[in-house]
Amino acid sequence: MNKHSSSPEETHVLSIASLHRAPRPVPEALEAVHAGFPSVAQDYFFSDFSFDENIITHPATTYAVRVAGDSMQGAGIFDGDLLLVDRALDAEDSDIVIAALDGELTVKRLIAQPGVPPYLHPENPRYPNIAISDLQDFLIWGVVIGNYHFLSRKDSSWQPA
Amino acid sequence: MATSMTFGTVHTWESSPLLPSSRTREQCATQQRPGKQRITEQRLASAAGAAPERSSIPALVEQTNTVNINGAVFSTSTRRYILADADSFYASCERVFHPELAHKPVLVLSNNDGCVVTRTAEAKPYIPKGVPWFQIRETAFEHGAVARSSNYELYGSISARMMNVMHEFFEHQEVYSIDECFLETRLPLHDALLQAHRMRQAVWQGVGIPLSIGIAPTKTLAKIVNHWVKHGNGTAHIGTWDQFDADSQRKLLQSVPIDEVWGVGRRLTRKLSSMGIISAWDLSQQDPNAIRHRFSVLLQRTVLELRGIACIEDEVSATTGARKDQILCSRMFGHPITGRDTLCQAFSVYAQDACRRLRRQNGLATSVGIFAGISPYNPDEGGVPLPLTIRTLPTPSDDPLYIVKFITHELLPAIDPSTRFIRAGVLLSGLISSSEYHPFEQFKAQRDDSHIGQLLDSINRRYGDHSIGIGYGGVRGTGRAKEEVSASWNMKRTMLSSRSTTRWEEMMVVKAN
Repeated sequence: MNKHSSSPEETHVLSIASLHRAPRPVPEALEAVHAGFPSVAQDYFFSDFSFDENIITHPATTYAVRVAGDSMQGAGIFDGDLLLVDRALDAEDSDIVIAALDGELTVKRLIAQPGVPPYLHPENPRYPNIAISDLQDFLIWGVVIGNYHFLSRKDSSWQPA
Repeated sequence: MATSMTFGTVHTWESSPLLPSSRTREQCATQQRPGKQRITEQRLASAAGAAPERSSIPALVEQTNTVNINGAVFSTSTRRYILADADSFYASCERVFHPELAHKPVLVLSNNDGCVVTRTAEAKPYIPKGVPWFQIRETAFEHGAVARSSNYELYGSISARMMNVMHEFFEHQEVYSIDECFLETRLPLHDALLQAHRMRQAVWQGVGIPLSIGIAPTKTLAKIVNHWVKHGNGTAHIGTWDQFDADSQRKLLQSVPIDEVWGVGRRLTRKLSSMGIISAWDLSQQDPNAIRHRFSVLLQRTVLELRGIACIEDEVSATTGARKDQILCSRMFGHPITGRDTLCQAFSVYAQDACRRLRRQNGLATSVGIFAGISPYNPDEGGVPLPLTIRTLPTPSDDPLYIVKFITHELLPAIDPSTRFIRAGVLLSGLISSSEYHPFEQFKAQRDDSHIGQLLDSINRRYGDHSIGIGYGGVRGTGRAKEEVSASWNMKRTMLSSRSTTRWEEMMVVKAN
């Protein structure tokens, strides 16, 4: 159930993405240079690693979105969590995807196994599966690559739905 | 206008079965433009049924021609230019986070919700471009159209993403405007086409923006082919100059009015028309040297470009983001304003916006200008506009406090208290690089040493635009609230979408229910 077929060339092209990323400014070490022994540590000074750079492979096609609702709790995705969604990836069986169902963006697990019509599976027994063929309007918006779940709930910018 | 033309030999790359991504691309196309679906399927079917071998593609021999112009021989290289241009860009951006708008007519309005600046294909039959919103509001709603205020922050972010994706496909990219860029390639035509298809597919899937693409030996021709793709030609999203035979090329150029040729402005159009040059074809048949003598070297280049000889280089500022030498911050007010105090407020806000842009390019302004205008539509109302007044700063500066003080204390003359101003602007000019400025000690630049400007920037970034500032008398509210409760003259943007990629608190919400 790929949204788009991908050719090997395309995969190759996208893998170059990281090389083209804009360089981040590296802070200079704030240390005066003294005569005599130079600071050994200065040679080893690197900026702190960037969380973004290490988890986002395709910055141009990756989006952060908020979750509202409890239908994906079984997958460890809770109300108010932050999802990272890469639109450049082709959705495959059992990926968690952002899908546009009749014009509304929702998060669900995609089940696309051979011999069975593909459907969307909420990870909560209180919600029914959704057969894709029943939908008026269906589009896979992107593939969820990660979830950030606030454990301390100090994320003041979010009011649960 | 080049609409629905037919030409002798137009090879349809679109339906070529050799293009692996063509099927998915067509699917995208049908999502985008449902009306085209039937034709597309027919074309796919006929392409698949007829001749699935390479023979269905015309011979693609790289041509290295030489052209003789007045005795001088130019060689046309195998380099090609690709003009990639987003379809109804602002409206397409509004659709990225709102799939429910996919098949609906979407309109984007100018500042203050004044005029329609962008329409999707669905809206074009009954909404003319540039029409005032209040005139067509009822018609628009009857047709189920959705209107949005212009959300430039969102469009800028989507544009950067789109440009970054495109840059991965071709080595050389010149970002020409927010929604179009030139790319260069030396690949053989067939490979270049494949790569362009992949690029279009990657931008559609990864960013959600549909592109139209024109490929030609020169930028001017790439523009023309791109326009043909957008307006003259059913379902194709990519066109190449090479797909036309000589006769069709001539017909295409004949169909392009002279004022639509890249680089020919309104003033030139009048003069050229009086000489009987009314189409791109007419211009291409002129003697380049005569054109140079009569007009300019720029128009001579256009003649050569129309003949397939590339001679327009990149605009440096577009590719490298090089420093501008002036910054203008000017807006229409939501409502007309009167009085010196209110005008001071507006100048203060615009000066701070301008300073922020100045600091971003590490510049210093050596002079500052202000102006304020009155409505051209109410001549009987009277009033005295404030023409652009520029004065040199005592010392170059990037400090908003210093510049605002200079405007209010030195620059702003006495104002007629009854004049109703509808727009105002602040111009920072004579910009120099702060790193290159080494004055004598006593003429030290008035730098923003206290970093108040930076502090204001970061507070505004965190708590929303204009939540803090200098002289912000009537500006209140945080985040989105400012749209409702702000200074009376602030921009009206009543149908603004979320800035989903640049504002943490406006992030898109996905339903789990």
